[in-house]
Amino acid sequence: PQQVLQYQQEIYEFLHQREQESSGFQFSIDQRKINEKMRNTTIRFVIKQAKMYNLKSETLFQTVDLIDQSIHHINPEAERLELIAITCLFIATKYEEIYPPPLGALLRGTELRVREVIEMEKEILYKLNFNVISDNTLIWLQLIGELLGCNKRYLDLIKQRS
Amino acid sequence: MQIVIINSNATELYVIHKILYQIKDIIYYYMSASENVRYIKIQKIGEGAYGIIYKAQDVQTEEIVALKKFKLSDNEGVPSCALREISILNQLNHPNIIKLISQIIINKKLHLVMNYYDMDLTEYLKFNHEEFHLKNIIYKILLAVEFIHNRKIIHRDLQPNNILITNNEPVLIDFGLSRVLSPNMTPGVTQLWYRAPELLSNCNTYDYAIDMWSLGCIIAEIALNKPLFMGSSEIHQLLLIKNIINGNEWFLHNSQFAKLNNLFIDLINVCISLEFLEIIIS
Repeated sequence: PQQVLQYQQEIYEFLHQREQESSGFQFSIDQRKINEKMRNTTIRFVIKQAKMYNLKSETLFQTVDLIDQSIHHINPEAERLELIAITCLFIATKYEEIYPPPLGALLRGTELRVREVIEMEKEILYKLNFNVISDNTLIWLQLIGELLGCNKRYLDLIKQRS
Repeated sequence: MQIVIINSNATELYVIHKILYQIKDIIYYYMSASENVRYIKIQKIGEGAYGIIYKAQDVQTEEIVALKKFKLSDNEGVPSCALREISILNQLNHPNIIKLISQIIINKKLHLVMNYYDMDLTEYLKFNHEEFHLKNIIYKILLAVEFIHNRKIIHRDLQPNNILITNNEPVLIDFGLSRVLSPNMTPGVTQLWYRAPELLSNCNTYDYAIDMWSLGCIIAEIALNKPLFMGSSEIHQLLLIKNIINGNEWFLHNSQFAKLNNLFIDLINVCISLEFLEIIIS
Protein backbone atom coordinates (compact mmCIF):
# COMPACT_ATOMS: atom_id res chain seq x y z
CA PRO A 1 0.00 0.00 0.00
CA GLN A 2 0.95 3.61 0.45
CA GLN A 3 2.33 5.43 3.47
CA VAL A 4 1.62 3.29 6.50
CA LEU A 5 5.11 3.50 7.90
CA GLN A 6 4.21 5.47 10.97
CA TYR A 7 2.00 2.66 12.24
CA GLN A 8 4.25 -0.21 11.27
CA GLN A 9 5.98 -0.64 14.61
CA GLU A 10 2.74 -0.91 16.56
CA ILE A 11 1.12 -3.23 14.05
CA TYR A 12 3.96 -5.73 14.20
CA GLU A 13 4.11 -5.54 17.98
CA PHE A 14 0.40 -6.33 18.15
CA LEU A 15 0.70 -9.23 15.72
CA HIS A 16 3.70 -10.61 17.57
CA GLN A 17 1.74 -10.50 20.80
CA ARG A 18 -1.07 -12.45 19.18
CA GLU A 19 1.40 -14.98 17.87
CA GLN A 20 2.78 -15.45 21.38
CA GLU A 21 -0.69 -16.04 22.77
CA SER A 22 -1.45 -18.73 20.24
CA SER A 23 1.95 -20.37 20.41
CA GLY A 24 0.68 -23.22 22.57
CA PHE A 25 -1.06 -24.33 19.43
CA GLN A 26 1.53 -26.57 17.81
CA PHE A 27 0.77 -29.37 15.44
CA SER A 28 0.87 -32.64 17.28
CA ILE A 29 -0.08 -34.80 14.38
CA ASP A 30 0.07 -38.07 16.29
CA GLN A 31 -3.12 -37.34 18.18
CA ARG A 32 -5.00 -36.19 15.13
CA LYS A 33 -7.08 -38.28 12.81
CA ILE A 34 -5.44 -36.45 9.95
CA ASN A 35 -1.85 -37.02 8.94
CA GLU A 36 0.51 -34.76 7.13
CA LYS A 37 -0.13 -36.26 3.70
CA MET A 38 -3.82 -35.56 3.87
CA ARG A 39 -3.17 -31.98 4.85
CA ASN A 40 -0.77 -31.59 1.94
CA THR A 41 -3.29 -32.83 -0.60
CA THR A 42 -5.97 -30.57 0.83
CA ILE A 43 -3.76 -27.54 0.61
CA ARG A 44 -2.76 -28.42 -2.93
CA PHE A 45 -6.45 -28.56 -3.75
CA VAL A 46 -7.01 -25.14 -2.16
CA ILE A 47 -4.12 -23.65 -4.14
CA LYS A 48 -5.61 -25.02 -7.35
CA GLN A 49 -8.97 -23.45 -6.51
CA ALA A 50 -7.36 -20.12 -5.65
CA LYS A 51 -5.57 -20.06 -8.99
CA MET A 52 -8.75 -20.95 -10.81
CA TYR A 53 -10.68 -17.99 -9.41
CA ASN A 54 -7.72 -15.56 -9.44
CA LEU A 55 -7.90 -15.00 -5.70
CA LYS A 56 -5.48 -12.74 -3.87
CA SER A 57 -2.56 -14.38 -2.12
CA GLU A 58 -3.85 -12.93 1.17
CA THR A 59 -6.95 -15.06 0.74
CA LEU A 60 -4.91 -18.16 0.10
CA PHE A 61 -2.76 -17.75 3.19
CA GLN A 62 -5.80 -16.92 5.27
CA THR A 63 -7.47 -20.12 4.08
CA VAL A 64 -4.51 -22.27 5.04
CA ASP A 65 -4.42 -20.59 8.43
CA LEU A 66 -8.13 -21.20 8.93
CA ILE A 67 -7.82 -24.85 7.89
CA ASP A 68 -5.04 -25.42 10.42
CA GLN A 69 -7.01 -23.76 13.17
CA SER A 70 -10.20 -25.64 12.47
CA ILE A 71 -8.35 -28.97 12.32
CA HIS A 72 -6.92 -28.09 15.69
CA HIS A 73 -10.28 -27.20 17.20
CA ILE A 74 -12.62 -29.70 15.58
CA ASN A 75 -10.34 -32.70 15.00
CA PRO A 76 -12.43 -33.98 12.11
CA GLU A 77 -12.62 -37.32 10.34
CA ALA A 78 -10.64 -37.64 7.14
CA GLU A 79 -13.77 -37.63 4.96
CA ARG A 80 -14.81 -34.23 6.25
CA LEU A 81 -11.53 -32.60 5.34
CA GLU A 82 -12.71 -31.55 1.90
CA LEU A 83 -15.80 -29.93 3.38
CA ILE A 84 -13.66 -28.03 5.89
CA ALA A 85 -11.26 -26.89 3.19
CA ILE A 86 -14.06 -25.54 1.01
CA THR A 87 -15.72 -23.84 3.97
CA CYS A 88 -12.47 -22.17 5.02
CA LEU A 89 -11.91 -20.99 1.48
CA PHE A 90 -15.45 -19.62 1.49
CA ILE A 91 -14.93 -17.72 4.75
CA ALA A 92 -11.57 -16.35 3.63
CA THR A 93 -12.92 -15.12 0.30
CA LYS A 94 -15.73 -13.33 2.07
CA TYR A 95 -13.26 -11.75 4.47
CA GLU A 96 -10.56 -10.64 2.04
CA GLU A 97 -11.90 -10.31 -1.49
CA ILE A 98 -13.78 -7.33 -2.84
CA TYR A 99 -16.00 -9.53 -5.00
CA PRO A 100 -16.11 -13.01 -3.48
CA PRO A 101 -16.98 -15.81 -5.91
CA PRO A 102 -20.40 -17.32 -5.27
CA LEU A 103 -20.61 -20.50 -3.25
CA GLY A 104 -22.07 -22.44 -6.16
CA ALA A 105 -18.92 -21.82 -8.16
CA LEU A 106 -16.66 -22.97 -5.34
CA LEU A 107 -18.63 -26.19 -5.04
CA ARG A 108 -18.22 -27.12 -8.69
CA GLY A 109 -16.48 -30.44 -9.16
CA THR A 110 -17.27 -31.65 -5.66
CA GLU A 111 -20.19 -33.60 -4.33
CA LEU A 112 -20.93 -31.27 -1.47
CA ARG A 113 -24.19 -29.43 -0.91
CA VAL A 114 -24.69 -25.75 -0.12
CA ARG A 115 -26.47 -26.50 3.12
CA GLU A 116 -23.62 -28.63 4.43
CA VAL A 117 -21.14 -25.84 3.83
CA ILE A 118 -23.30 -23.28 5.61
CA GLU A 119 -23.76 -25.56 8.63
CA MET A 120 -20.01 -26.15 8.71
CA GLU A 121 -19.35 -22.42 8.42
CA LYS A 122 -21.42 -21.79 11.54
CA GLU A 123 -19.59 -24.53 13.40
CA ILE A 124 -16.14 -23.30 12.44
CA LEU A 125 -16.93 -19.66 13.22
CA TYR A 126 -18.30 -20.56 16.62
CA LYS A 127 -15.35 -22.80 17.41
CA LEU A 128 -12.95 -20.00 16.48
CA ASN A 129 -15.17 -17.51 18.30
CA PHE A 130 -15.23 -15.40 15.11
CA ASN A 131 -11.52 -14.65 15.40
CA VAL A 132 -10.84 -14.44 11.69
CA ILE A 133 -7.88 -12.11 11.70
CA SER A 134 -5.25 -11.95 9.04
CA ASP A 135 -2.19 -12.82 11.06
CA ASN A 136 -0.96 -15.37 8.60
CA THR A 137 2.43 -16.22 7.23
CA LEU A 138 2.25 -13.74 4.36
CA ILE A 139 2.61 -10.71 6.64
CA TRP A 140 5.79 -12.10 8.16
CA LEU A 141 7.10 -13.03 4.73
CA GLN A 142 6.57 -9.46 3.61
CA LEU A 143 8.32 -8.14 6.72
CA ILE A 144 11.32 -10.38 6.10
CA GLY A 145 11.38 -9.21 2.51
CA GLU A 146 11.33 -5.59 3.58
CA LEU A 147 14.08 -6.12 6.14
CA LEU A 148 16.25 -7.79 3.53
CA GLY A 149 15.78 -4.72 1.38
CA CYS A 150 13.74 -6.18 -1.44
CA ASN A 151 11.97 -3.54 -3.44
CA LYS A 152 8.36 -3.64 -4.46
CA ARG A 153 8.91 -5.70 -7.57
CA TYR A 154 10.50 -8.49 -5.58
CA LEU A 155 7.62 -8.50 -3.14
CA ASP A 156 5.17 -8.85 -6.00
CA LEU A 157 7.25 -11.71 -7.35
CA ILE A 158 7.16 -13.45 -3.98
CA LYS A 159 3.42 -13.03 -3.93
CA GLN A 160 3.05 -14.54 -7.36
CA ARG A 161 5.23 -17.51 -6.51
CA SER A 162 3.56 -18.25 -3.23
CA MET B 1 -30.37 -41.21 39.01
CA GLN B 2 -27.35 -41.64 41.27
CA ILE B 3 -28.74 -44.69 43.05
CA VAL B 4 -29.42 -46.37 39.76
CA ILE B 5 -25.90 -45.85 38.62
CA ILE B 6 -24.37 -47.22 41.80
CA ASN B 7 -26.36 -50.45 41.63
CA SER B 8 -26.10 -50.98 37.94
CA ASN B 9 -23.91 -53.28 35.97
CA ALA B 10 -22.38 -52.63 32.59
CA THR B 11 -25.46 -53.27 30.44
CA GLU B 12 -27.62 -50.93 32.51
CA LEU B 13 -25.00 -48.24 32.27
CA TYR B 14 -25.02 -48.72 28.55
CA VAL B 15 -28.82 -48.26 28.48
CA ILE B 16 -28.63 -45.08 30.55
CA HIS B 17 -25.91 -43.79 28.32
CA LYS B 18 -28.08 -44.46 25.28
CA ILE B 19 -31.09 -42.69 26.80
CA LEU B 20 -29.01 -39.69 27.75
CA TYR B 21 -27.65 -39.60 24.24
CA GLN B 22 -31.19 -39.49 22.86
CA ILE B 23 -32.26 -36.79 25.30
CA LYS B 24 -29.20 -34.70 24.43
CA ASP B 25 -30.86 -33.05 21.46
CA ILE B 26 -33.94 -32.15 23.50
CA ILE B 27 -31.80 -30.63 26.26
CA TYR B 28 -29.87 -28.63 23.70
CA TYR B 29 -33.13 -27.46 22.20
CA TYR B 30 -34.39 -26.15 25.53
CA MET B 31 -31.08 -24.54 26.31
CA SER B 32 -31.15 -22.70 23.03
CA ALA B 33 -34.80 -21.80 23.61
CA SER B 34 -33.99 -20.19 26.95
CA GLU B 35 -31.22 -18.33 25.17
CA ASN B 36 -33.81 -16.98 22.77
CA VAL B 37 -35.92 -15.58 25.56
CA ARG B 38 -32.94 -13.89 27.08
CA TYR B 39 -33.41 -10.71 25.07
CA ILE B 40 -36.79 -9.02 24.63
CA LYS B 41 -37.05 -6.57 21.78
CA ILE B 42 -38.49 -3.21 22.82
CA GLN B 43 -38.41 -1.10 19.68
CA LYS B 44 -36.73 -0.66 16.33
CA ILE B 45 -34.02 2.01 16.26
CA GLY B 46 -32.51 1.96 12.83
CA GLU B 47 -32.33 0.13 9.56
CA GLY B 48 -29.66 -0.32 6.94
CA ALA B 49 -28.66 -2.40 3.97
CA TYR B 50 -27.20 -5.07 6.27
CA GLY B 51 -30.21 -5.52 8.56
CA ILE B 52 -32.12 -3.94 11.43
CA ILE B 53 -31.10 -2.58 14.83
CA TYR B 54 -33.37 -3.13 17.83
CA LYS B 55 -33.38 -1.81 21.35
CA ALA B 56 -33.77 -4.78 23.66
CA GLN B 57 -33.67 -5.77 27.30
CA ASP B 58 -31.64 -8.54 28.86
CA VAL B 59 -33.96 -10.61 31.02
CA GLN B 60 -31.25 -11.94 33.30
CA THR B 61 -29.47 -8.72 34.16
CA GLU B 62 -32.22 -6.26 33.21
CA GLU B 63 -29.70 -4.34 31.16
CA ILE B 64 -30.71 -2.41 28.05
CA VAL B 65 -28.76 -3.57 24.99
CA ALA B 66 -28.76 -2.99 21.25
CA LEU B 67 -29.41 -5.95 18.97
CA LYS B 68 -28.09 -5.80 15.44
CA LYS B 69 -29.85 -8.29 13.21
CA PHE B 70 -28.23 -9.65 10.05
CA LYS B 71 -30.05 -11.57 7.40
CA LEU B 72 -28.62 -15.04 6.98
CA SER B 73 -29.36 -15.98 3.40
CA ASP B 74 -29.36 -19.60 2.29
CA ASN B 75 -26.80 -19.22 -0.44
CA GLU B 76 -24.21 -17.06 1.24
CA GLY B 77 -24.19 -18.07 4.87
CA VAL B 78 -22.83 -15.40 7.18
CA PRO B 79 -22.67 -12.13 5.19
CA SER B 80 -19.19 -10.74 4.72
CA CYS B 81 -19.90 -7.45 6.48
CA ALA B 82 -21.05 -9.35 9.59
CA LEU B 83 -17.99 -11.56 9.41
CA ARG B 84 -15.68 -8.56 9.27
CA GLU B 85 -17.52 -6.64 11.95
CA ILE B 86 -17.47 -9.49 14.46
CA SER B 87 -13.87 -10.48 13.93
CA ILE B 88 -12.72 -6.88 14.10
CA LEU B 89 -14.78 -5.96 17.16
CA ASN B 90 -13.55 -9.08 18.93
CA GLN B 91 -9.96 -7.87 18.87
CA LEU B 92 -10.65 -4.25 19.83
CA ASN B 93 -10.77 -3.50 23.52
CA HIS B 94 -10.81 0.21 24.17
CA PRO B 95 -13.05 2.44 26.35
CA ASN B 96 -14.06 4.58 23.37
CA ILE B 97 -14.95 1.71 21.06
CA ILE B 98 -18.19 -0.23 21.39
CA LYS B 99 -17.98 -3.64 23.04
CA LEU B 100 -19.47 -6.71 21.47
CA ILE B 101 -21.13 -8.59 24.32
CA SER B 102 -21.97 -11.74 22.38
CA GLN B 103 -23.30 -13.04 19.10
CA ILE B 104 -26.36 -15.29 19.05
CA ILE B 105 -28.59 -16.94 16.51
CA ILE B 106 -32.33 -16.41 16.93
CA ASN B 107 -34.71 -17.93 14.40
CA LYS B 108 -31.80 -18.67 12.07
CA LYS B 109 -30.79 -15.02 12.08
CA LEU B 110 -27.50 -13.76 13.39
CA HIS B 111 -27.76 -11.12 16.12
CA LEU B 112 -24.98 -9.06 17.60
CA VAL B 113 -25.50 -7.96 21.20
CA MET B 114 -23.92 -4.61 22.04
CA ASN B 115 -24.22 -1.90 24.65
CA TYR B 116 -27.00 0.61 24.12
CA TYR B 117 -26.43 4.37 24.02
CA ASP B 118 -29.24 6.75 23.19
CA MET B 119 -27.51 9.79 21.69
CA ASP B 120 -25.27 10.27 18.69
CA LEU B 121 -23.04 13.19 17.83
CA THR B 122 -25.50 14.95 15.48
CA GLU B 123 -28.15 15.04 18.20
CA TYR B 124 -25.57 16.01 20.79
CA LEU B 125 -24.49 19.03 18.77
CA LYS B 126 -28.04 20.39 18.66
CA PHE B 127 -27.64 21.53 22.26
CA ASN B 128 -25.09 23.98 23.56
CA HIS B 129 -22.16 22.48 25.38
CA GLU B 130 -19.13 23.74 27.18
CA GLU B 131 -15.96 24.03 25.16
CA PHE B 132 -14.16 21.78 27.60
CA HIS B 133 -16.54 18.87 26.86
CA LEU B 134 -16.21 19.29 23.12
CA LYS B 135 -12.41 19.30 23.34
CA ASN B 136 -12.53 16.15 25.42
CA ILE B 137 -14.73 14.46 22.81
CA ILE B 138 -12.39 15.38 19.95
CA TYR B 139 -9.39 14.10 21.89
CA LYS B 140 -11.07 10.79 22.76
CA ILE B 141 -12.19 10.21 19.17
CA LEU B 142 -8.64 10.79 17.97
CA LEU B 143 -7.35 8.29 20.53
CA ALA B 144 -9.88 5.66 19.45
CA VAL B 145 -9.02 6.07 15.77
CA GLU B 146 -5.32 5.83 16.52
CA PHE B 147 -6.03 2.61 18.41
CA ILE B 148 -7.84 1.15 15.39
CA HIS B 149 -5.11 2.15 12.97
CA ASN B 150 -2.47 0.57 15.17
CA ARG B 151 -4.22 -2.73 14.54
CA LYS B 152 -4.01 -2.36 10.77
CA ILE B 153 -7.74 -1.70 10.47
CA ILE B 154 -9.46 1.08 8.53
CA HIS B 155 -12.90 2.12 9.78
CA ARG B 156 -14.09 3.50 6.41
CA ASP B 157 -17.41 4.78 7.74
CA LEU B 158 -16.57 7.60 10.14
CA GLN B 159 -19.43 10.11 10.44
CA PRO B 160 -21.26 11.83 13.32
CA ASN B 161 -24.06 9.25 13.19
CA ASN B 162 -21.56 6.54 14.00
CA ILE B 163 -20.21 8.27 17.09
CA LEU B 164 -22.39 7.84 20.14
CA ILE B 165 -22.14 9.99 23.26
CA THR B 166 -22.69 8.97 26.88
CA ASN B 167 -21.84 11.29 29.74
CA ASN B 168 -19.80 13.46 27.38
CA GLU B 169 -17.66 10.50 26.34
CA PRO B 170 -17.67 9.37 22.69
CA VAL B 171 -18.05 5.75 21.59
CA LEU B 172 -17.22 4.56 18.06
CA ILE B 173 -19.70 2.14 16.49
CA ASP B 174 -20.55 0.44 13.19
CA PHE B 175 -17.56 -1.52 11.94
CA GLY B 176 -19.64 -3.09 9.17
CA LEU B 177 -17.62 -1.40 6.45
CA SER B 178 -14.23 -1.54 8.11
CA ARG B 179 -11.58 -4.00 7.08
CA VAL B 180 -7.93 -4.89 7.37
CA LEU B 181 -5.69 -2.84 5.12
CA SER B 182 -4.94 -4.49 1.81
CA PRO B 183 -3.59 -3.30 -1.55
CA ASN B 184 -6.92 -3.23 -3.37
CA MET B 185 -10.21 -2.07 -1.88
CA THR B 186 -13.59 -0.80 -3.07
CA PRO B 187 -13.78 2.99 -3.42
CA GLY B 188 -17.50 3.34 -2.67
CA VAL B 189 -17.33 3.67 1.11
CA THR B 190 -18.09 6.37 3.71
CA GLN B 191 -21.03 8.75 3.59
CA LEU B 192 -20.73 11.34 0.83
CA TRP B 193 -20.20 14.42 3.01
CA TYR B 194 -17.27 12.79 4.79
CA ARG B 195 -15.76 11.06 1.78
CA ALA B 196 -12.14 11.82 1.00
CA PRO B 197 -11.14 13.15 -2.44
CA GLU B 198 -9.22 9.99 -3.32
CA LEU B 199 -12.42 8.01 -2.87
CA LEU B 200 -14.41 10.54 -4.89
CA SER B 201 -12.00 10.11 -7.76
CA ASN B 202 -12.48 6.32 -7.70
CA CYS B 203 -9.04 5.36 -6.51
CA ASN B 204 -8.77 1.85 -5.07
CA THR B 205 -5.36 2.01 -3.43
CA TYR B 206 -6.15 4.27 -0.50
CA ASP B 207 -5.05 3.95 3.11
CA TYR B 208 -5.63 5.40 6.59
CA ALA B 209 -5.77 8.93 5.16
CA ILE B 210 -9.47 8.53 4.29
CA ASP B 211 -10.29 8.07 7.97
CA MET B 212 -8.32 11.18 8.79
CA TRP B 213 -10.24 13.16 6.17
CA SER B 214 -13.57 12.17 7.71
CA LEU B 215 -12.17 13.04 11.12
CA GLY B 216 -11.19 16.48 9.89
CA CYS B 217 -14.72 17.03 8.59
CA ILE B 218 -16.19 15.86 11.91
CA ILE B 219 -13.92 18.13 13.95
CA ALA B 220 -14.82 21.09 11.75
CA GLU B 221 -18.47 20.18 12.20
CA ILE B 222 -18.11 20.16 15.98
CA ALA B 223 -16.50 23.60 15.82
CA LEU B 224 -18.84 25.22 13.29
CA ASN B 225 -21.99 23.32 14.31
CA LYS B 226 -22.72 22.41 10.71
CA PRO B 227 -21.13 20.04 8.18
CA LEU B 228 -18.14 21.43 6.33
CA PHE B 229 -18.94 20.11 2.86
CA MET B 230 -22.55 19.31 1.98
CA GLY B 231 -22.42 17.98 -1.56
CA SER B 232 -25.38 16.50 -3.40
CA SER B 233 -23.37 14.31 -5.76
CA GLU B 234 -19.80 13.14 -6.07
CA ILE B 235 -18.85 15.90 -8.54
CA HIS B 236 -20.60 18.57 -6.51
CA GLN B 237 -18.70 17.36 -3.46
CA LEU B 238 -15.37 17.61 -5.24
CA LEU B 239 -16.22 21.14 -6.43
CA LEU B 240 -17.15 22.20 -2.92
CA ILE B 241 -13.88 20.88 -1.56
CA LYS B 242 -11.98 22.69 -4.30
CA ASN B 243 -13.84 25.96 -3.67
CA ILE B 244 -13.35 25.99 0.08
CA ILE B 245 -9.80 24.75 0.15
CA ASN B 246 -7.70 26.67 -2.33
CA GLY B 247 -4.12 27.44 -1.49
CA ASN B 248 -2.27 26.73 1.71
CA GLU B 249 -3.91 29.42 3.83
CA TRP B 250 -7.47 28.77 2.77
CA PHE B 251 -8.91 29.33 6.23
CA LEU B 252 -7.85 32.99 6.25
CA HIS B 253 -10.27 33.78 3.44
CA ASN B 254 -13.19 32.05 5.11
CA SER B 255 -15.13 34.10 7.64
CA GLN B 256 -16.47 31.00 9.39
CA PHE B 257 -13.06 30.14 10.70
CA ALA B 258 -12.21 33.60 12.00
CA LYS B 259 -13.37 32.93 15.54
CA LEU B 260 -11.36 29.74 15.93
CA ASN B 261 -8.07 29.27 17.65
CA ASN B 262 -4.93 28.92 15.51
CA LEU B 263 -3.94 25.58 16.97
CA PHE B 264 -7.40 24.27 16.27
CA ILE B 265 -7.22 25.29 12.65
CA ASP B 266 -3.86 23.55 12.43
CA LEU B 267 -5.50 20.36 13.63
CA ILE B 268 -8.20 20.53 10.97
CA ASN B 269 -5.64 21.42 8.36
CA VAL B 270 -3.50 18.41 9.16
CA CYS B 271 -6.48 16.09 8.90
CA ILE B 272 -7.73 17.56 5.66
CA SER B 273 -4.43 17.22 3.93
CA LEU B 274 -4.19 18.70 0.49
CA GLU B 275 -1.60 16.44 -1.09
CA PHE B 276 -4.02 14.31 -2.97
CA LEU B 277 -6.24 17.19 -4.02
CA GLU B 278 -3.36 18.92 -5.75
CA ILE B 279 -2.76 15.85 -7.86
CA ILE B 280 -6.36 15.89 -9.05
CA ILE B 281 -6.45 19.60 -9.84
CA SER B 282 -3.14 19.65 -11.72
